[in-house]
Amino acid sequence: MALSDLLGVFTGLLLTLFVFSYLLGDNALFRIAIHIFIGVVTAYLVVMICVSVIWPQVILPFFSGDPNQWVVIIVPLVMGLLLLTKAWRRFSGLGTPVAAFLVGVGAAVAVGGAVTGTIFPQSLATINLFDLRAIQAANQNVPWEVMNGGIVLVGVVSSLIYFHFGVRASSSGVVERAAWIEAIARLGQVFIAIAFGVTLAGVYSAALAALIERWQFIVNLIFSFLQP
Amino acid sequence: MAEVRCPMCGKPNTDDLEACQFCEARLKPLIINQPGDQPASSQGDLSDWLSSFQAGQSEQSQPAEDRSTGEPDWLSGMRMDYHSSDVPDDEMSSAEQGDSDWLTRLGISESQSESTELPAATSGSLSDWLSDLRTEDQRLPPDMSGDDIPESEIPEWLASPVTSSVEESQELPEWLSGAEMTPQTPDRQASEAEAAPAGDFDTELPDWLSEPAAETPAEAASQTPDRQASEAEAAPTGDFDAELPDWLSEPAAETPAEGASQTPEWQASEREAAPAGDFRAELPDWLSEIGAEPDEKAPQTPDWQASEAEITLEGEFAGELPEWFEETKTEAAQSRPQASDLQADELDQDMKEWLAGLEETVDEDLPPIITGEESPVSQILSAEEPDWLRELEETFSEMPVTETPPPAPAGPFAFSDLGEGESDLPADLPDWFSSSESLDAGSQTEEPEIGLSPADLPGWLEAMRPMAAGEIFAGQESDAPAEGAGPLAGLQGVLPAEPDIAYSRKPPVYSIKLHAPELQKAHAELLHHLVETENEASPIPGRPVIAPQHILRILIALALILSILAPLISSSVQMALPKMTVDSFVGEYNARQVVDSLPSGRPVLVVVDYQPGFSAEMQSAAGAVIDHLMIKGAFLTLVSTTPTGPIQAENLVQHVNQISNHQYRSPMHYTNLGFIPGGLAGILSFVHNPRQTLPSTMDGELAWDLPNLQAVTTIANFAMVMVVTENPELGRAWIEQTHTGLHGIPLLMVTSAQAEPLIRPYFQSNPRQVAGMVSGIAGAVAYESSFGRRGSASQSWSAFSIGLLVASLLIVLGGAVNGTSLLVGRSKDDSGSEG
Repeated sequence: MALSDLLGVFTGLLLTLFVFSYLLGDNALFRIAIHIFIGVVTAYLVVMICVSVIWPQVILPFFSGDPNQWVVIIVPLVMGLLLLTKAWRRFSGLGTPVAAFLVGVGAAVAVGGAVTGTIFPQSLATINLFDLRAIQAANQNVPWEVMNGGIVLVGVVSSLIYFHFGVRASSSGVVERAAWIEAIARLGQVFIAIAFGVTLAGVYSAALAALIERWQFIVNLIFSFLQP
Repeated sequence: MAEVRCPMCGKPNTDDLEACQFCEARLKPLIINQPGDQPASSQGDLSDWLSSFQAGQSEQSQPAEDRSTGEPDWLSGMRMDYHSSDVPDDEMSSAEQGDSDWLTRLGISESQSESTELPAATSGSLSDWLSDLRTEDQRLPPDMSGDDIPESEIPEWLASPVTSSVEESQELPEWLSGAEMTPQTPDRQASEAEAAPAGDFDTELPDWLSEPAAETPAEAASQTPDRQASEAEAAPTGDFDAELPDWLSEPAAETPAEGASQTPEWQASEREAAPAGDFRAELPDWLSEIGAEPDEKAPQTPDWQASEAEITLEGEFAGELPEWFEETKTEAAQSRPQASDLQADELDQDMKEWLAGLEETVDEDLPPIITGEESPVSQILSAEEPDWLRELEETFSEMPVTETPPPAPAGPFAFSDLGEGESDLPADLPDWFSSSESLDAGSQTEEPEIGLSPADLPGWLEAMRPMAAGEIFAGQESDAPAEGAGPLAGLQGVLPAEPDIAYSRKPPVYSIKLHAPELQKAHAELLHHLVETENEASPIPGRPVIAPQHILRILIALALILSILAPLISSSVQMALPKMTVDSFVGEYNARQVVDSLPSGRPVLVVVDYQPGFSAEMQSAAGAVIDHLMIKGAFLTLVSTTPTGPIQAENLVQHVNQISNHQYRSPMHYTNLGFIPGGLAGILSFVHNPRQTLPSTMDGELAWDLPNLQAVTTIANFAMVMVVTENPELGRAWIEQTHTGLHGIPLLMVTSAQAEPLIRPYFQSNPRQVAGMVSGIAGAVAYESSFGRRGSASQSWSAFSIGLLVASLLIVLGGAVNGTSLLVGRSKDDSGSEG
């Protein structure tokens, strides 16, 4: 094993043990490990942005000698410089148009993608669950699939209604949602809770996988030293 | 600067003021200077009329040479003015050389002027009403004499001169007082000495009063002894005139001598009725004393004149005589050497003679006046008489006579003798007269201020006097204090605030001890304690080094770690691998079908968008597919939308190479294009123009010049797009942004187990937006097992499975413990509440 690999392995081992020390509570070793990770990640990001963005997309085209590249570069470059003025309050107004442009473009892209990539397709998929011909074509149990589609439909509708917060004042003066909306919202809350439970199980699964990987690393390292 | 009190308001004023600065009343009577008047400065303290009177007397009685010596200039001037035509030059010269004893000369001049007639013109200046009034008085019966009229009924403005004459005589200057008491002077001088008070009084008289005397010295000198007496008594009248209103004083001032000569009938009767002794009874003491002795020695002459002439008080008053008076006596003695040797009896005899002549002359000269017949002058003046005076005359003429007036006291006018009371006066008296009567009643209670004559207030003003109101309230018994001064003088209780304010007393002492019950004190103490301890930080209880939670946490960690280490250390502890079927792992199954359908050597776009913390799971999950792709010989194009993505992608390839023994090298087998900036926009840009978005690789080489990428212009030119992410948002973003640019190429999703619930709907939708998906360790194991490979996921599957089992057991155990504790707690609460 090369020395660099050996240093890397021991460094990894120490940092892993430092993080595991959190089992005994918050301590300096855990904080050292956290600070090292944050510092390394930040430095890596700076290097990565310079290497992957600024150098290949700004500097190289500027020195390429191609006028077309200059034209393409000037607008983003000026907008980028104006966006930097947001760091100074006195000149932050200069970067506001650029920020507005970015927000506008980002919103447009997100909304467009959500509408065309999520809302319409998912709505259509929910409807298609009751497509008996498709079910029969796929040789699936129609009642079962229809029931499954019904559950999905109820889950979708109830989950959407749960996020409906429109209320009205009743005759008794109590401000609350309508009773039927409240009942469906409670059903939707059940579906949402199940989805969050599944997500939490996935989080635990991911954490468990990370724990296994770390202990597997330690075990392999130990075995590598034990096994000549 | 001397002060002069205003006769109206009584306030002090400087003597240089003509009018009162407070009430604007005239302080000095109006003076009408005649062309022949001597300047006041030349006359010294003597008034004009007295000076001229003196001059006239001296001219006629004293030799010129005697009078010229030591005589003051003003006396000389007076002689020059008034007697130059009547007196011969030799007499004038002798008069100029004469002594300055005007009192002596006054007697002589009077004796010489007895034969002179009273000029009509002088009498013509007398006011009609006054002359008529005198005429009326002369026509009054004897029972209307002033003696019968009680003095209390006399109006103040009329009585004050009479009463004040005595007082004012006491205020005479010292020199004049001495002159009055000088016994060495002749009888006429003595008579003049009696008039001295009047003369001295006249020094304060205005010019208007002195002018007639100056104009008619002969007339003044021709007065009878009675007239002289009346003159002497008129001195107060002169003073009284000074206080008279202008309308009343002016006519009287025009003819003082005439007025004196035209003695009204009532005055004549008074003189007749009042013997000398009675007259002296009304005289002031000093004057009475003087006339005490001569009555016996000179019975033929008027008692008072004779007695005065015989009184020898030189030694007694010598020391008090002024210097000029001594000189006068000396000069008089020199000018009359024989007279100085004469005995007093001879002088008395002379005086008796000329006084008797004077009486006869007076009786002869004044018959018309005394008899009441109107003189031409009075007729002329009567034409100018106002209507109200005529009415007054008629009223007085018609007034009944009820009583015989007693002898008049002193005073030529003796207006106090006009009536006995209001009943004797007509009802339609003029306002000024009636007001004066009303004032009389009010003024009886007042004590006249010494040296200040009371003001002649109109009736309406007198009625407003606050003292009158005070007198009204004086009889009322009240505890309220009465105002002593100011406009509210005499009123009681009108200003009660003043004594209240001024009244001071010791403020009461209040106890500052708070009287509160014990309960309130306890509450206050509690509140005080709370406020005090509010700012004090409560001590943080020290945490034990090993708490039950720490032990529990360590126990759980040990359980998980031991459960994981067991399959890793011991190969005997292994879990069975899951088998991928169409129904159980649909996503993985479809993913493998897609990979299996890829042509060899085609570029495959692999998006590595996961964080380093999820590298273990993602490497295991993506490793199975990457291993499959490597087996297929696909050209891997690695991109990332997270900054850490490029290094994770590189690590992923190296990890698969290491696990699956592949020899993928960049740029022959794969290329790492690096980081796609811009988030969603960058993704969209890369989807439609990958060359423009990421022109170069991480190594700095032009990515699109690589042989496997030269045909790629859009994302649709890749054989497959595989997104490896643990973030469902990033996975959804790639799905949303690429579904319009894929144009039918398969999209695989390799996700973490936590992102599976959100990504799976895109896979299970109809039509599918995601062609296949591999999620978590389980999906990767299923994928690997589907084609008989044992990758990293399969190596950790046993530990992962045991870990999930232990975790599940712990969750169930923890839930059971919590549920049990909850039930126990509730049961305790229920039992406690029931108990």
